[in-house]
Amino acid sequence: MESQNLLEIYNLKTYFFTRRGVIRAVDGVTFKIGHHENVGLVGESGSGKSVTAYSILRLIDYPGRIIDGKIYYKGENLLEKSLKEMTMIRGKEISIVMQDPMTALNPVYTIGQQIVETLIKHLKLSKKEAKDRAIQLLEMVGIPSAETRFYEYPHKLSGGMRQRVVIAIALSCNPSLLIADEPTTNLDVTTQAEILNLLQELKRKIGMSTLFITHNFGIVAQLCDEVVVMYAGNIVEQSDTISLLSEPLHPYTKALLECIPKKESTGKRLNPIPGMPPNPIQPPSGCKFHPRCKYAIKEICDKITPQLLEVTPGHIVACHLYDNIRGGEVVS
Amino acid sequence: MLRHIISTLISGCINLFFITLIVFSILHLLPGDPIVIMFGMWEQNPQQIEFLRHKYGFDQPIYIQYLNWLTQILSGNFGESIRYKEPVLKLILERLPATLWLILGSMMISLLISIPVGIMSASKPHSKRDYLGMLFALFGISTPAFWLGIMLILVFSLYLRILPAYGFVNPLESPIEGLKTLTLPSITLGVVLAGTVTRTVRSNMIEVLYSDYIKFARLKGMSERTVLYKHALKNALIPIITIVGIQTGILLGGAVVIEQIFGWPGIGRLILQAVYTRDYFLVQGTILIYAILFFLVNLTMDIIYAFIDPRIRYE
Amino acid sequence: MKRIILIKEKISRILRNANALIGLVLIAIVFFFAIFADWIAPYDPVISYPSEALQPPTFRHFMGTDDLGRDIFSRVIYGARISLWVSFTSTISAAIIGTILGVIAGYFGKIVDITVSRFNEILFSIPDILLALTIIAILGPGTDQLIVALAIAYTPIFIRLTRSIALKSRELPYVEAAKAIGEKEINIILRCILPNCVTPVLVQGTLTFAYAILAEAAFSFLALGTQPPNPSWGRMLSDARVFMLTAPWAAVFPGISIFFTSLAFNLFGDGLRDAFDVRLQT
Repeated sequence: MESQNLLEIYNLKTYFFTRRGVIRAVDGVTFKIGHHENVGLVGESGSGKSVTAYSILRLIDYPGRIIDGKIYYKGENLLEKSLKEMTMIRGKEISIVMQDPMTALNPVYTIGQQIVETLIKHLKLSKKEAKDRAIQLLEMVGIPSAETRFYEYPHKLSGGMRQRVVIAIALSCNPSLLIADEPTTNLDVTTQAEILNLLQELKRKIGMSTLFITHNFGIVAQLCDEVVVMYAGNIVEQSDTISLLSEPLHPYTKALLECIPKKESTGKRLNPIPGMPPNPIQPPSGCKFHPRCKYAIKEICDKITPQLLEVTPGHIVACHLYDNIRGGEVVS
Repeated sequence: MLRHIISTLISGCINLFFITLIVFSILHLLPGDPIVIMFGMWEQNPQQIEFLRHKYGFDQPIYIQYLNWLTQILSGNFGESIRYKEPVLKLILERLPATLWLILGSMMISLLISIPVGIMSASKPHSKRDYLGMLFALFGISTPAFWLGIMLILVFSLYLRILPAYGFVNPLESPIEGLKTLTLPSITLGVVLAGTVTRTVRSNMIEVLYSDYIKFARLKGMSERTVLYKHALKNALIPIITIVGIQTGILLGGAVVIEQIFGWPGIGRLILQAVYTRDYFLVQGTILIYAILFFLVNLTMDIIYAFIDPRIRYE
Repeated sequence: MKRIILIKEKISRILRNANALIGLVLIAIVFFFAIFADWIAPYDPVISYPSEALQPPTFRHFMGTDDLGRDIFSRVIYGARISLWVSFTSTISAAIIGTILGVIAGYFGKIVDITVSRFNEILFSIPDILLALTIIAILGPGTDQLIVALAIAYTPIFIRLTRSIALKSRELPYVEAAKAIGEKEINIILRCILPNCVTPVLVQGTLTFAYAILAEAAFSFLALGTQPPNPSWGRMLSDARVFMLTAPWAAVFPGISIFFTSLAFNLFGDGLRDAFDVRLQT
């Protein structure tokens, strides 16, 4: 069954069953990624964005478990596949670029070995073919003297270089979807810019769909067509980038955007979002953002969980300011 | 890497030098007159004592004594045992094989137990099997080795009569008999040692299994088997080399008591006899040899480590 | 005031940890027997009753008697005193001396550090039982001598521990601030560095204590520790070897006591370590 979208996630729920209680890291998340589309997944630490990404590839470690939902990739539900089938999808159809390049590579094998291993497994290349392709890939991601670097161990490379290698590995088998989990957070500013430019260029050249996980709206603006905003395991707003950045609807999104220091704001105070991130085991009742929201309506926002509604075409929000729950009555 | 090895060697030699100082000063830290302490049991005649004092150079200034002693050591002369009337070095070399076999046997049993149990525990932390593994480790650490030895002798030698409780037969000369004598002592030390080592293996494995690069290997779509045996194992094995070094130290200490229980003619027992009979030349010699042995084992481990870990090898 | 709250919080964390709790209970049992030995022990541990020699466990003698007719149960109880005493004094001494040396080395650095570290490295290169043996060789056998020997053997690990803590603490902002204000060095050490050492030293101390129990038993077994007729568990074991076949209980019970006590402290130490582990807090 050919589907319109590359990836469709319905009501994904991933919980962590710890000794202290159940953490609802992803609590009913639904969104789609189309072919050749670039989606940004935004939220603060603990919002569940990374967990969502790893859930797609079913790489959730104990004590976490995906307990509900459907994830359709090219029409097939990934959650119903066997583990063996999943290993064919990981790295080949869907790849993830991890957050920390310093620890992503195995220190006791050369980077060449680590690229070749993927190529041989997924594309069934011969050793020689794999080596040639690996060197090609290293050149593609902008690593100088690729021929010699092939034989080097990861500890010889800088963070930026390692991230390029990781990207090379991720793209080595031509995936249809590339997920980047905060790929530049652990890099210095200059390298950040380089990596982002590289990603943009590769995107253009190869044309795969991308899912960018970040808390940085600058990256979103540069690289994403669609943005999904998450808070405490739920999606609170989703729209195309331009609309979201120019007319954010959800109070959380607005607050996030206000946090960003702008050129005009020199001399003014920074505006952090007041309050504390929600307790993952006992989140606030009703709308999880209500304790920190300056627009919160008593008796409504703290009691009733808002549903996602399409307020303007293509722009979805979960907030009582935009639905018709006023005066305690739900009017659809 | 060469630089690393050389610096380890130099550092080790300096330590060894200080150890000789310490060992030498044992004799001179004794309260009272060393000569009287050593020979007082056989000689009461003051003239004889003076003669002995001169013979062994105790009437010379301390630093001269030390230099003499050091030069003697370096030329292989570790002095002569007062009680056995034989060169210390000869006595030690005669007994070295027994202790080496004991250490080998114990280490093998320890690794045979602790590596599987440690891996089993690490594969699912905080699960039932993990608690079982850790309970075993706890018991191992808390058990007095010599008591375990005695209990094993009670059951297997005295009641069941299937294994000998006493003596050593070199497995190279007579394999079956040798292994029989080696069994109980090795199990005794091995099981107790396994307690400590299991915990180390477990924590090393956990660190590896939950590392980012293992996650990345899975992300790439590698099969679980490849992930475990190719990616995880090599990383986890490297620290195990250091474990062998640590084990040796513990075993060398434990051997002293265990050799006593099993009538094992090794260096440990020799040291004890020396201490009991106040045979201080023997005490000096044996402790020095022990320290050198330990030093050599650690040095070898360091060098092997430098070879295996690419981060050091390609420095 | 804040300190009391912190301590209360730490204690509640300890009590919530299963290992620590069980360990603590077991330790309490051992201490109970040791302290109230005079009241609990049915017989005198030292006097021999030849007529009652080698009796198996009965109502009159819970753990049987040894070859001199002494009640093993009573001896085991009194043996607890010796075990605990030796382990306690040697561990505390090692901890105190080790901490002082370690903190000085870590805090002042340079020559002091190099000296102490080199010295420590050397001590580490000799297995601890061997080191203790060497010292016993010099001092001769006996309970007090054993305490000194064990104290010296266990000092290195405390030096290493506290030195690394001092090194890390030295870099902390509030230490630099204190220095900038011109705070006296001794005060800085006492107020800023030492408190950081408390929990790790406590954990290590408990584990060393467990180790010392085994060591005391081993040395007494070798007749290098507590001398007869004082009832030390190790000594009892070595005596029992002779008539093990006819009276195995004489070897079983002292051994179990050693195991039990060591287990108690190991459990408690593990529990403490988990309870204080910063990473385990959400």
